Amino acid sequence: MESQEMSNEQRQQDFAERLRRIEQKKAGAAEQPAPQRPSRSEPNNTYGVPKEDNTVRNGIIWAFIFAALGAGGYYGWHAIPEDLKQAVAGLTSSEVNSVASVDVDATTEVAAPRPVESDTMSDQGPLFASPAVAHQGTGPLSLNDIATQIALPTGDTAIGALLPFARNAQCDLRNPLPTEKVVNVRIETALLPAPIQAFSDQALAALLLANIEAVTKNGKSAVSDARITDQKTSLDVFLTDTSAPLYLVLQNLGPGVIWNIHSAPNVTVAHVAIIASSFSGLVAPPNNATFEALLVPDFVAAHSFGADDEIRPCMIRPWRNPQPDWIGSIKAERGNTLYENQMSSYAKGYAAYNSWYTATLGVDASTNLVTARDAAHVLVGPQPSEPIPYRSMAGRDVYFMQTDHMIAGDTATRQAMTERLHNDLLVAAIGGDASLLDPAVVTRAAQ
Amino acid sequence: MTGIRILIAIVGLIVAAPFIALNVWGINMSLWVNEVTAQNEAVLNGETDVPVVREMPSNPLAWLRNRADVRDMFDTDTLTDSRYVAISEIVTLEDLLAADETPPAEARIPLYAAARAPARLIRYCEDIIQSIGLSCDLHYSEARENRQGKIELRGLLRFIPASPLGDPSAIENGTLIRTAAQLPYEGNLLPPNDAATRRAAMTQAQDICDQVRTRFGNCVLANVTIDVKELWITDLEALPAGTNPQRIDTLATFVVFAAQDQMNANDLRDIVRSLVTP
Repeated sequence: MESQEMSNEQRQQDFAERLRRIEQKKAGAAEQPAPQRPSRSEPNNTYGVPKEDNTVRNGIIWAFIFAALGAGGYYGWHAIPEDLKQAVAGLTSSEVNSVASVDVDATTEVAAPRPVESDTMSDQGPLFASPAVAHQGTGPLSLNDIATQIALPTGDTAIGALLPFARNAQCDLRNPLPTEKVVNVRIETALLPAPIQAFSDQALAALLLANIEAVTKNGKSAVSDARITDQKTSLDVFLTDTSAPLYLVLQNLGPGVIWNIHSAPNVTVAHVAIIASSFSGLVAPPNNATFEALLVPDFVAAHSFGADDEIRPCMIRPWRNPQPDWIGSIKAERGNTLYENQMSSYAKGYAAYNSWYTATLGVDASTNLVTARDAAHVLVGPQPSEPIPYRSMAGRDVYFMQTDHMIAGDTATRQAMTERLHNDLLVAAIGGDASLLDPAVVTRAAQ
Repeated sequence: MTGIRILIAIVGLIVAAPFIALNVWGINMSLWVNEVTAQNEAVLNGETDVPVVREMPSNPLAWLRNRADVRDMFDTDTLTDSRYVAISEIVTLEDLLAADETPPAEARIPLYAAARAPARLIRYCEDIIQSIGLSCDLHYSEARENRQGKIELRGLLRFIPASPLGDPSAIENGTLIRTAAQLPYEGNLLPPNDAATRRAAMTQAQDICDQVRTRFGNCVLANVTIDVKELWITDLEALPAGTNPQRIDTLATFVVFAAQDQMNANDLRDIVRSLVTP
C-alpha cells in the first residue's frame, strides 16, 4: 500500500514537473521566438513595430533619378528635330485646328503656335479654292465680287473644237513692246475641272511597258489596268488693268492647265505667252489676242533636287520665289533643315528662272505678279467696280499644245476613248492577246 | 521559384544560341579573311609562291537556311526557281514583227520588244525538253536595245530535270555546294547559236552532273547560262561565207548536297574541272 501511495505521489510529482517544464518552455519561447518563415495564411503583423528611417537614403536615390530624367529630357528635347517637336507639341495642344499664324514673335517664341497647313495655306504658299480669288492685294476676294453670270466648267462641259497648235521650237518669246504692260500669273496647279485629256504616245507606251513588265519580270498574273489619263484642270484669269495693252505671261509648275481669260471692258490683251510644265491649252482668248507657248520638258530635263540651282541658258522651269508667309519658309526660319534646303533650292531655282525671264522679256519675273500654289480664279488688276460677265468655256474653242493623244468630251466619252487607246496599243504590241505574255508550260511528249 | 529561374535560363540560352553561334562564326570569318589577305599579300610581295588557304569556316546556321533550298533544288514535281536555263537572243525589230506588219513608232519599240519577248523565248523550251528537261516554263523575260540598234532578249526558263537527281535525305548535316564551269569548245571560235549546238551543250552539262552523282550520290544541274554573242563584221570577213554570226558561250552550274566535313566548294570545283576538261 505504502509503495502504491509513493508511486502515486511520484507520478503527481512527475506530472507537476512536466507541467513546470512546459510552462518554462512556453515562457522561454515567448521571450525568444524561434526564426521561422511566416506562413502565407498568417498575416505578418508589423503594425506598431518601429521602422528603420531611410528618408535620407531614399531622398538621395530619388534625387539621382529625377536629375537623370531631367538631364535626359532636356538634352533629348533639344536633340529632337524641330518639326517632330512641333508635331509632339501639337498632339498635346488643344489648338491643333486653330488657324495657322505666320507671325513669330521673338518674345513669345515658346508660346507661338506651330505653323499648320490648312485649306488656305501650304508649305509653298496660299491656296485659293473656288470661289476664293487670288490677287495682288491681301484681303479675301470671292468670285462673286468680280464676276457675274458664273458658269464654272465641269468634266462634262461641252467645249467647241480642240485646236492643236505648235509650241515654240526655240527657247524664246515675243519681246513686249514699249507700250505694253507685262503682267504675270504663276501657279503650280489649277483647281477647276476641265473636259480635256492629253498625253504623248511615249507616255502611253511607257505606262503599258510597266504594266507588261509587271507580268514578264515580276510574275504578276495579269496585266495591270493602270491607265494614263492626264486630265487637265483649268484656271480663270480675270484681267481688269486698262492702263496699257497687256502682255500676259501665264506660267505653271505642275500638271497641264487650260487657261481661261476673262477681260473687263476696255482691257486690251496684246499677247499671251504660256510657259507650261505639262501639255496645256488656252480657251480662245478675247480680242483674238496672239499667243505662243513654251513647254518646259522641251528644253529642261525632268527635275531632281538641286538640278535648277544654277543659272543657265533656257532654264524655263517657272519656280515660285519663296515668301515669308509660306509655311515652308516659317519652318525653315525655325531651323527645320529639310525646309531650309527646300526653300533654298526654290529660291535658287527662281533666281535661275528669273535670269532667263529677264533676259528674254526685259522685265523681272515678279513684275505685276499674281501667284499662288493652287488657284481656281486669279484677278490681275484692280477689283472691278462692276462684276465682269463670266466667259464660260462651254462652246468655245480651246487651243492646245500639239501632242499625240488629245481627248475632249464628257467624262464617259473620254474614259471610253482612253480605254480603247490603251487596249488597242496593248494588243498591237503583244501581237495577240495578253495570254502570250505568260506562255503555257511546255512538256515532253510521253515516250 | 527555382523552377521558373531554370526555365528562364533555358529559354534565354535557346534564344541566345543562334546569336552566339553567329558571333563566333563572324569572328572566325574575320580571322579567315585576314589570313587569306595576308597570304595573298605574301604572294604579291613574292614571299611565297602559292597561298595555302584553309577551308572557309562553315556557317553554323546554314542548315536552317538550306532546308528550303534543298527542297526546291531536289523537288522533281514542280518547276522551281532553283533550276533554270538562262537564254538570250539578239534580234532585229523586223524579226519580232509579222511579215506584213507595219513597224511601230520609235517610242513604241521598247514596248513591242518587251511584249513579244515571252512568245519568242518560250521556243527555247523545246531545246530543254529535247535534252535535259521533262517540262519547262518561261519564268522571266526582258528586252533591251543594244549599242548596235538590235534588240537583246533575255529569259529564264525553269525546268524539271529528266535525269534522276539522287537522294539527299540520307546525308546528315549536309549543305548545298555549288560550282560553275564554262563548257569547252573546239578551236578559237565559240560554237554557233543553233538548236543542235544548244541541246548538245545542255546534254554535255547533264553528262557531267551524272558523273558527279555517280561519285557523291546526288547532283543537280541547277543552271545553264547560254550567252549569245555576235561576231563583228571584221571577224566575219575572215571566216567562210555563211558563217553563223551568233555564237554561244555556255556556263553550267552544278549543285551537290553533301556533308560539310566531307566536301567543300573547292573539292567540287576540282572534280567538275577534271570532268569538263579530262
